[in-house]
Amino acid sequence: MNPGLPGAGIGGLFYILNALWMPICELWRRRQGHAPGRWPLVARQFGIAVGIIVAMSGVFWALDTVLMLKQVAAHAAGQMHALWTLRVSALLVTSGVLATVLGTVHVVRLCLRLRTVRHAAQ
Amino acid sequence: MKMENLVTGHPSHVNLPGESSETAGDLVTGLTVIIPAYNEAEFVGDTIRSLLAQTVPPDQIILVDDGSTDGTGDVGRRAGITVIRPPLNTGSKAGAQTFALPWVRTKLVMAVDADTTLEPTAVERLMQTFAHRGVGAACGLVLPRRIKSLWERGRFVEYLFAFTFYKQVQDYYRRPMISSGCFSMYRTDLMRRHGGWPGRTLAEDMDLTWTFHQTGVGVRFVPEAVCYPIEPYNFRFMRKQLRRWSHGFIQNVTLHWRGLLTVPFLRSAVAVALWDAIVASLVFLIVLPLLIIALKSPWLLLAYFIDAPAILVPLLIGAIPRREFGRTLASLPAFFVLRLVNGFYFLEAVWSEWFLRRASLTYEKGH
Repeated sequence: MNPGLPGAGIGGLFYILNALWMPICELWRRRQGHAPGRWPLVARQFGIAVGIIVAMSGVFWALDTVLMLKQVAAHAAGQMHALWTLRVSALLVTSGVLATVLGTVHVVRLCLRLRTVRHAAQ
Repeated sequence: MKMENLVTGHPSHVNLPGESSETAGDLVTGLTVIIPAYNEAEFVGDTIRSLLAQTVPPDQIILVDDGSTDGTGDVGRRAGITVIRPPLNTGSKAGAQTFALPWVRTKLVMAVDADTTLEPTAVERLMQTFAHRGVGAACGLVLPRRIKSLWERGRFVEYLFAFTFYKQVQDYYRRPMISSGCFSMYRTDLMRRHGGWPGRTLAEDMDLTWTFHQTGVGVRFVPEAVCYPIEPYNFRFMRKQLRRWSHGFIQNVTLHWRGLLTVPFLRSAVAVALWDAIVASLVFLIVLPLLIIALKSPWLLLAYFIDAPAILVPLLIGAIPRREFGRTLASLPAFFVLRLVNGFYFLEAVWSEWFLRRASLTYEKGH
């Protein structure tokens, strides 16, 4: 069972970021004296994350090329700026939504903790 | 309840709850496998054979014949394993597994679906993780056994993607989201303390895993331990399974959300999965079709499979060592179909569970 829709939405970005964070996490664990042996997993997942970023960059590059050819043919090259803006804003929106969802989780957690502390104090 | 009504098979293996004074500390080393089964005569023989062929065979195999009418119990008896039959159908997989728990007298217990076969080293690999005291549950990698129909192909891609990428990341942060119900191993004393497999939601595996995470019990994912269940091969069965899973997910979020907030990583993973289940489904099923019609732009259709290259990266990394490159590529379109259907059932579950407040607790078999 896989909750959510694999690949779609902010889930993909969430797991990419977590996979990119793994080497730093692993270095920190080693410094704390934890046993080694998880580097193959870390390297594999890091590689997958990088591969996904490269693959998606390739998709956007291909889209750009196709759309540019189409627009040049239509003498509408001025719209290229709008396309680029659309792409950047899509990335920003996805990152922003992810940050908002994760931030909301922490805000709710803190609110509940505050309420518990207040109840205990009373 | 008399013994002869419940138990058939090898009497020497049977340890009736009323006759036993065992505590958790008295449990003997080893493994008992519980196979919950309702009308599984067609597949359960393969499951038993794959269990008997393990490099570390289980000490006891209990087949729970949960009111079958197709001779499922006879298959178990012929194979020489313990067969128990509740007086009435328990109504769910969780119920059947919990019914068998008092018969378990080993330190480890494993639940395997009646339609699931295992690679010969699967049991051994899972058992190894229990050398660590903190581990209370472990699960393996799941891949469909038959990959022929559209639905089986879609599920193959979904599993290969999730188990190669998502689940490995979850395990690195020590928070696998689900110890899959079709093939998982647990400490018996822990299961007894929790009263067995919970039947309060339609996804007992998720319920149990999230409870373990909240109580500090370690859950591990072992990708080398591979199992092969029979996945729904037509829409009728797929619909039942998707409905059960979607409702189960929403029910577990409703039940556990406060507790989940205390579990690092898992709280974020669940929040993100929930967001995607709702918002991505709405976008795929409502927003995009409306935009395509309003803007009359066929280019927007690309949005349905624009992430195909991103999906392909972990897929191919998972498929190449298994030599399933061609099959994976050929199955990719089915994944996008399944994702859309999945989105519909997520929205239906959210609407039904949260807005209509109609909790669905009828367990429908997925194949």
